[in-house]
Amino acid sequence: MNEPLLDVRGLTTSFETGQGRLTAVDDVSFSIEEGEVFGVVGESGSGKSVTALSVMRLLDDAGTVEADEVWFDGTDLLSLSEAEMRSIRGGEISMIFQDPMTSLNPVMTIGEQIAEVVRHHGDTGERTGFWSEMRRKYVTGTSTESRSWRRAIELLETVGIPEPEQRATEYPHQLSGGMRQRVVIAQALAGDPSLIIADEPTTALDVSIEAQILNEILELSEEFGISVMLITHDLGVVRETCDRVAVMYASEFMETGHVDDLFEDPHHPYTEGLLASIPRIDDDREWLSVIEGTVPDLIDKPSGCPFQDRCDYAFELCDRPLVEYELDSTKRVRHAVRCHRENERVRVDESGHVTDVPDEAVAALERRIEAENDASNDPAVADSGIRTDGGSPTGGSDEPERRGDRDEY
Amino acid sequence: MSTDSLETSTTPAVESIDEPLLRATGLQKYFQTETGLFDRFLGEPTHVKAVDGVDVAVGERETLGLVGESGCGKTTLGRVLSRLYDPSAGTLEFDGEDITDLEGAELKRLRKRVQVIFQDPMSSLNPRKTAGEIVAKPLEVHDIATGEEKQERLAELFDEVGLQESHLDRYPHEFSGGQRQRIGIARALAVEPDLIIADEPVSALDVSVQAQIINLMKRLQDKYGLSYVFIAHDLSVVKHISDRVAVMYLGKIVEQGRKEDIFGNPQHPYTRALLHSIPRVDGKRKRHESLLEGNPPSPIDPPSGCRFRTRCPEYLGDECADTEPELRAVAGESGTVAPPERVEMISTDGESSDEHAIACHWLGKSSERREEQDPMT
Repeated sequence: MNEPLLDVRGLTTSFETGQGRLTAVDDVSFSIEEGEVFGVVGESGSGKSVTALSVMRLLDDAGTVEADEVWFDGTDLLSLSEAEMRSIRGGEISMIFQDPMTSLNPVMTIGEQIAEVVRHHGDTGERTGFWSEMRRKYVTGTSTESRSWRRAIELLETVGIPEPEQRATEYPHQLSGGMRQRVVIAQALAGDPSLIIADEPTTALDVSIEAQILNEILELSEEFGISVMLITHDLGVVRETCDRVAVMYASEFMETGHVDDLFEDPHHPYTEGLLASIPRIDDDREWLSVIEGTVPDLIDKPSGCPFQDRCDYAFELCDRPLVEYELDSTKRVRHAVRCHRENERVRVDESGHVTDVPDEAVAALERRIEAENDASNDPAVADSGIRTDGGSPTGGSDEPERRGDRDEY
Repeated sequence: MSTDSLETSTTPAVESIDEPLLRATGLQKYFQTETGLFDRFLGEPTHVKAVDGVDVAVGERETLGLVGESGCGKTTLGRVLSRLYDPSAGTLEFDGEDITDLEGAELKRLRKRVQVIFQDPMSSLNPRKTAGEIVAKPLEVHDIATGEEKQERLAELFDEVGLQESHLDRYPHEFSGGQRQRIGIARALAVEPDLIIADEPVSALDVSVQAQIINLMKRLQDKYGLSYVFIAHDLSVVKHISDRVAVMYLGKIVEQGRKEDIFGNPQHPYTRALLHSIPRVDGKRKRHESLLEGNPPSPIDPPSGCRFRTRCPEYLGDECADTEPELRAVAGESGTVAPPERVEMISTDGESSDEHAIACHWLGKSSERREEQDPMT
């Protein structure tokens, strides 16, 4: 198998708050292959956006980001200087945000905004120094003869904006929501990226426009072989656009796998509950099933499964640190679940409830947790890329020394 | 289309409910656009035609779902229906009484029977009042209960919507989004209304919380015999909660009927395209495709003839640009098409009920021709 384009291992992001330490991303590992559309789905506050921002190192000093490894296209993103990182952002990796009105500059024409990205990340031979940019921004504007401007027009055309020459001279407020989001996509393409991170790109749009924009993103991804990390709360969007998907809950990836596997045969009780709680256009249920309770407090998060209090299947192993279980290794795409119900020694009846937890199950789990601790403590082993069962245990408080060993940025 | 067919058919979808609780006829709401001094000297002021001739009816214990894209006028319609806005033209009847021009004490009496739930509970709840005070307000305003009795009623209401009595003294910011919406529901429920107009009540909520609120609204309807006008842009949610559905486009209703008609046998090109564009979790279709190109035109100067013609995937010709189609019953008419494959699951065998009506020139035309032109096949 080829090296994945983006490979993230053991990403943990936390914020210091007045009430205590808030863990927004808790030991998350994932990889994105070339040309793949990878979805991250979860409810608000589950840590989807923070995951993306952490990878892009866009959190500044607000939060502490730690990770075992973040490899992108053969580069270790952790080791890059801020200047090098800046050239990757908007270049090799670009982002699309939810609200185009806040991600576009309201006092610059859209052509200008795209041309700027082209100049900074492309090979146009135009000067990008501070004074040159200032002159363009406030005095002369980008020359319509310049390569960057012509490229901007080209990009607007690529994303399906009619009369691009005319549109390029307009300001964001003159465009409709759908058009604005197209402009943001054009801007994301300007740096010739190999990965686009799209954070709720269609949430602010109407269904009909949503379909247009999703189409656009997918077509571009196929045409230029760009990988997409699509962050959304909409399960329908995930099903129709993604190849693989991760379900995020309370800062952890609960289940990861191919969309078809995950939607047709969900293994995690949360995934199951989520799928059952959405009204569908083709079901005739009188009552929707509901996941009772609320998301746990992420401040001083206890160890063990964060879903246990709301879970119908909870049993005695649930307050042990979570590990990742891989299902049916014959599958083409890896399907992994973080739920102790999948422990092969735990007996489960037909309804999915646990009937018996033999002592060997507990012993096996403990051995595994220990082994993983050792692995992530030993940099040599970690570097050699042991990722057969990627996840390592949660619960920072009882393993302070492990945290200390991580690369911090 | 012959002219006599136009005359014989007035909006049958509305007629078919014998005694509706709320009935609107020819309802219009225009807003004057802001104009400069110069424009005022120069001719006619311009208007945003937010609601432009709508006939709807809501029966007792019934939920009418109102769907459409943003800017189609569904929120304005909801506000006119609840008399939060005064209609520019048309009549409104509630329980047999004309409420179009009610004022003062009489309007206040109406408020006791018609209540509203808003989309964003954070901006519709006073941040400086406790949840108890907020829910108690309607009890005070309408002299329903005071003192001990009021406290009892509050506890009862909170229990009804799934909040605890300890929540009475908390402020809105201390609640989660779903709980805030519960407070909004409790407030609407306080006066024991007959009709609740809910404007996007669940769109600001997470999926798992959405299900809780939808179930709560359904349970309350069963228990108190409430009627709802449920305004939403999410078709799956509307389908789940509604008995009848009206689809709006640019200030007009383009299709209405029983839920089974709209979702099982959609006939208006707009409804069909809209249903087609919802992302679905059943995995029936890989990759999105949209039949709706472009954006809705401006409601200040809507297109001539059929308003949807500029984006219509089944554009018929000059007729669409010349005359505005009226809402007519589908049953027994030619020009209908078989339900698209992907919505056949809510089967009506392709049969429409008497209430199913669309505003489209295809009605009365050759069905074969329409099938040939059908972009979904």
